Amino acid sequence: MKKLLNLSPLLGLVIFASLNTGCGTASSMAAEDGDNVVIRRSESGDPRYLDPHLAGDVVSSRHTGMTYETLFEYHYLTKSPTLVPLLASKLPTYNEKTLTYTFNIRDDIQFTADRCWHPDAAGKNYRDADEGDAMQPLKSKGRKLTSKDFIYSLKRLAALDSGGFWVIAGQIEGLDTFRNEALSKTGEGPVEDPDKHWRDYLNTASVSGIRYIDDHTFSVTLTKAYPQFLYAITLSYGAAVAREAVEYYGRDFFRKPVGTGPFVLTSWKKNMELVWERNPDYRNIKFPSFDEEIVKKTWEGHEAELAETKKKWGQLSGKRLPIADKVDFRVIKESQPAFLSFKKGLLDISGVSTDQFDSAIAQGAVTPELNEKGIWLSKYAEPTIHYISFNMTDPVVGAPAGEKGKAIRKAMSLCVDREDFIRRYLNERGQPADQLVPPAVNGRQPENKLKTQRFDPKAGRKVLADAGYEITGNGDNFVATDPDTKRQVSISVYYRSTTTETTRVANFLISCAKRVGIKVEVEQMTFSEFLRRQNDGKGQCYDAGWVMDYPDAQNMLQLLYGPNKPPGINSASFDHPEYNRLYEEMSPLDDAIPEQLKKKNRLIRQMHEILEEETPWLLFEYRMIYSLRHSWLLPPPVPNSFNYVGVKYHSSSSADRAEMAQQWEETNWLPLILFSLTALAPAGLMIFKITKEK
Amino acid sequence: MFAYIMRRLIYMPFILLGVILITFMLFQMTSTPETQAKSYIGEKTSQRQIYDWLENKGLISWTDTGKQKIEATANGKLPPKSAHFVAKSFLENTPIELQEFYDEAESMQEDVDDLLSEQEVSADDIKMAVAKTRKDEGLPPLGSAEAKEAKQIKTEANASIFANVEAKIALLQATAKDKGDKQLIEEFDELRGKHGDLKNESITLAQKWQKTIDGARQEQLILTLGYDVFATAKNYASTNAGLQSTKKRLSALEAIFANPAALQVELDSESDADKKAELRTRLALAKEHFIDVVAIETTIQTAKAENKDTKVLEKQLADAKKAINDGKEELEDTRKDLAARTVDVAKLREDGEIATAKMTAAEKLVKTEIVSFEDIEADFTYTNAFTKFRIYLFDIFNLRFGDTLNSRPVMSVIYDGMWPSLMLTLPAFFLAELIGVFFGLFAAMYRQTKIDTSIIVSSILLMSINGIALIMFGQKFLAADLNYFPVTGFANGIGAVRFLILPIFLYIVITFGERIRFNRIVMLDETNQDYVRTARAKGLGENTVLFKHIFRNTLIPLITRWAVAIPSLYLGSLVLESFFSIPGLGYMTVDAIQNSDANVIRAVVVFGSISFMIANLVSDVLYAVADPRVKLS
Repeated sequence: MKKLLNLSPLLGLVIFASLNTGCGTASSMAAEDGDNVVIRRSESGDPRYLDPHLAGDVVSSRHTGMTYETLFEYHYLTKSPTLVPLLASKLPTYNEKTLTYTFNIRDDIQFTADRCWHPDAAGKNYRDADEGDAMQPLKSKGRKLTSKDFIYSLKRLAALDSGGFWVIAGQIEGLDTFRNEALSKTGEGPVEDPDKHWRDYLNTASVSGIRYIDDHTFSVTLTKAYPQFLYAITLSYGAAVAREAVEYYGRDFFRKPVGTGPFVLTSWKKNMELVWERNPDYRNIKFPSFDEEIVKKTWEGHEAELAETKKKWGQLSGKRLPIADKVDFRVIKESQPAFLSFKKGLLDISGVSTDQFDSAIAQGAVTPELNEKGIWLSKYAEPTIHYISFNMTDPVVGAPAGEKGKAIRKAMSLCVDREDFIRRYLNERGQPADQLVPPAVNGRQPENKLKTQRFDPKAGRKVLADAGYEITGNGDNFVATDPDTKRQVSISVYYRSTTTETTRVANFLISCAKRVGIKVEVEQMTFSEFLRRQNDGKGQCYDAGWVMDYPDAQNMLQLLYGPNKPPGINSASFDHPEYNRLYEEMSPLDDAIPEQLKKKNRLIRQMHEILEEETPWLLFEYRMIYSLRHSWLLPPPVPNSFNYVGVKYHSSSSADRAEMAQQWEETNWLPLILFSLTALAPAGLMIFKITKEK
Repeated sequence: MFAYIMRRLIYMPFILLGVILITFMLFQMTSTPETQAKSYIGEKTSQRQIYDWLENKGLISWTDTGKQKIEATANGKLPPKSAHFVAKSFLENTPIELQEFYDEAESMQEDVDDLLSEQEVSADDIKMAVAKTRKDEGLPPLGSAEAKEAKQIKTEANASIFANVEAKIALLQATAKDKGDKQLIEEFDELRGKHGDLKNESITLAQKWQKTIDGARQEQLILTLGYDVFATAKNYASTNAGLQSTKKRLSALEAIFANPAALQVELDSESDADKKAELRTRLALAKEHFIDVVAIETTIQTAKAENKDTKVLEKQLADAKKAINDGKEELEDTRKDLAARTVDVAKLREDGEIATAKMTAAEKLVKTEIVSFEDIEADFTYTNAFTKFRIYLFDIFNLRFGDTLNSRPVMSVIYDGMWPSLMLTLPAFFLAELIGVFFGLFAAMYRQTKIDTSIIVSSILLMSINGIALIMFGQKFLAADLNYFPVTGFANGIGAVRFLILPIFLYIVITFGERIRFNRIVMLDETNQDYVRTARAKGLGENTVLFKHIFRNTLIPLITRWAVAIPSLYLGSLVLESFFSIPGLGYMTVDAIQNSDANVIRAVVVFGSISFMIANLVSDVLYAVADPRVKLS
């Protein structure tokens, strides 16, 4: 026993030493990967839906993009977002007179192998089936994709109570009527199969605007000109799904993806990991070339940058897609472990959270430590806007309050120091927002700059005083009093998160509002609760944001279009007849046609004049994305926030990963030995005392 | 002891029943039967599915009107999506609730009147203020014949109450302002605020009431009219809309071939006004859509004659021809479509027109008949609270907790998350306790020495540092910098061990300070007892005193601590799970609370109380084992 006790420190050391062998280090991963190209990334949570017609959030869209495909995609190498065929064999023909698009589909597209192609396979209860490695034990080769699948998918998007229908709502002839009829049949079937009527209707009813021509051709007739239509169907909502799969998996379809894309989901461990592997049946398509006309055209005037880019990505041209054999997504909720894993080479790519900013970025570039590791920083403007929307139906800040409400909205917009906000809370990753159209999107013009969206608290106080409010106070602390009620002007703002970061942002707004004498009451809530209240339209102000779905100003300007009022996306309930009219005139105009673009710009300017006067939003900022990448990863040469199907082009090198990471895995045993000795000292002392006594 | 255990086991169901009753009450307070049904059968379900489910559960029973409505919707004769079912309790309770608001406003009016007399405001001023507000609100002047008649209608009477109080408070405020009495102004502000809230709440409720009643009226109307009439009218309307759209498209297609010049000639020579109007429309369309191939061909000929380049023109010609060909094909299809639709419409028109006429007439009739809310009949009644509780209890005993908001069965989520949590917390807890006990004894052994002081100092130090800071530091230093452990992650089976060592170690470190402080005090407390002095006086060795006497007696407070801590181990440790990406229950529970996922919360509470009761019983038994003086009787 005594001998054993004496050996215990040694035993401890042996146990600790054994921990470091093969414990998920980058080099051990690289050895595991062998010659395979494996991309390792992280997600902050599981995707909510792997059903393209329901995927509304970024994580879900990214994962549905791994296996579901749309007719078109954004070209991977162009400088500006440009649509090119994906499942389509060519760009569609469009008959302007009849408003009809005719789509041609490739004839070599096959759905992924899956058990759904064998309807008689044993075991119907997939709901409780093991979701681990044995996810698809009875799979068999999928069938070819035809135009009928697209017709079914468009109808399904309409018939489902999906949040994504808005992208084509009111645009395709007969589809809205079809949707209303289908929705009225939801759950109205017999008790043993409540969705029978709905399903039968979906499968049999036709839509006058969607026509089957042959197995590889179909047409879609619009109700009015909708130049954004191709962008709209390039979102995941336009992806093709197979009816067999939908019916086979039923309500579990959202977690059993069966697509046509480059990857198949081989493992999904909730809250842990999603593994996508190369789809062996994926058609033979190649990495594009920089010599394509369409690419060259978009790089005109940027020849030097193109030459640089070509050096890095040119080697991939002609390679069969997908380049990666496996894409491993680890679910890591906290920013620190994600960043540390990235630093150790366990992840190929990492965002930069506010907490980790100082350890990653110094003076706009990566820190020397990261630089030494070959890590590089990619910065790009994301087409997003952060704003506070005022509920225009509210009796205090909205239209019912007349000039007084308008004064509050304007004063709030004038009291925010946006540059200070970006510096303090975003580590300079943003640009003050001064109009609805973000940078690098057609329709953004210097003339649109909204004068109310600047930092001028003095002007804010004047606006309030002119509207009849009494202003008292000094410095940064004023009180605006309503002479009627003798109360301080007070507004409440709903925030969509309960995190401390949101509390800090909310406190910033409170302190800004003091400069014009307005009291801001903040209510933080969970996202689901926030959405519920926003859809009810009962809040006073909402902290909101919008990530553009496609590169067209219409996508942003629709957020204030009257008919989109809650439960629609117009959270401000802004319903201005003239704005609505201008929007209706502007939205069918095509950016690609110079005369139309000119007219569109004029209309956007007029719309901004209305916004200047009405101020339904307080604009904060356009976001800037910072992303860190290891040298062995080749991500997109030009980041494109609209592209969710680009992972097939990504390349990585396990050998490089192993070589680099090995240097970072050296272990210094001295601290462990010292700690073990310190920790075991009391045991030694106790043993010593007991032995001595004996 | 056996009798004691049996007795405790008999108590257990009652305690559990109490816990379930509390969760039941919370459930009833925070959700309606309808939302509960949705949590079992999915968010996107129809009203009929919800009520089918509630009926199957025995949570509602249908009235005759309700049964009639179900039959109508099942046969597709009543529009299913707009059909909504009205509960008896809603019909009965809402007027009472509304009346409560009005009563409160009336009582406020009395208070305000008292205040007005206190402030010595003249009756004329009051009258004037009320008259002004009534005018602003669009109400007839008090005392007028119009007002008397309007008062017969409930809603006007209620609007009057609010208008009168509002006017009087405003008057009070104005008086206070004249007097310059700040305190009074504030008091009246408060009064005004209260009155405003009251008014808003009553408006919201009245609106909800009105909406439901309107829906119910509409449905009763449809039921009264006869379903076939409604269905025909609807069918006709949609088919006719299709026909109109096809016609519109056909005109646009025809215009491709209609030469505007020829139409202009035709228009000029036409004298009939109707035909002229039709020609004008066609001309306008032709001007917009016409493709003039001949003109292009002529231009090409001219260009050729002049030896000019005709490439562009020829392409234009080819495009035009192609567009014409496409147009021809589509025109053919559209014509066929139109013919088919015209037949359908013709068939339906007659029935439809009759149906529409009938509907309008009957609508008028029903509208005059339905004049008050009381005419609406309830479709169903909710079962009483006792039956609800019985059903609730039955579900829990059968482990039917429904689905999570992400449509996964709650039981499977709990089961999946429980093991990773236990893999983390069980070894962490027992190791921490073992180390805690060891250091407690160690401190007792070296009491009042420098070693003891250093233990106290280090435990206070560890207690002062925030747990998250320790985790972040440990993860960065031990895993990322020194490479002793994986930074984060988890694996199934034995592979999980390597991912768990660091979180377990950090759990021990985080709880070390507090544990040592507790154990040291408990041990030292025993050291000063008489029996210890006696033992020492008897000449027993320090080891025997420490391990045989002191340690055994300290087990009672330790067991009490364990009894509290062990039952919650299955919930894991939220922060550790979050930082080390361990897919346990800790994170899931917090997630459920944040998303108001009531089914998950309920299951966690129920399992928590069961495990707590079991742990409590086990701890009682252990008391008796550890201390012979404790008798379980």
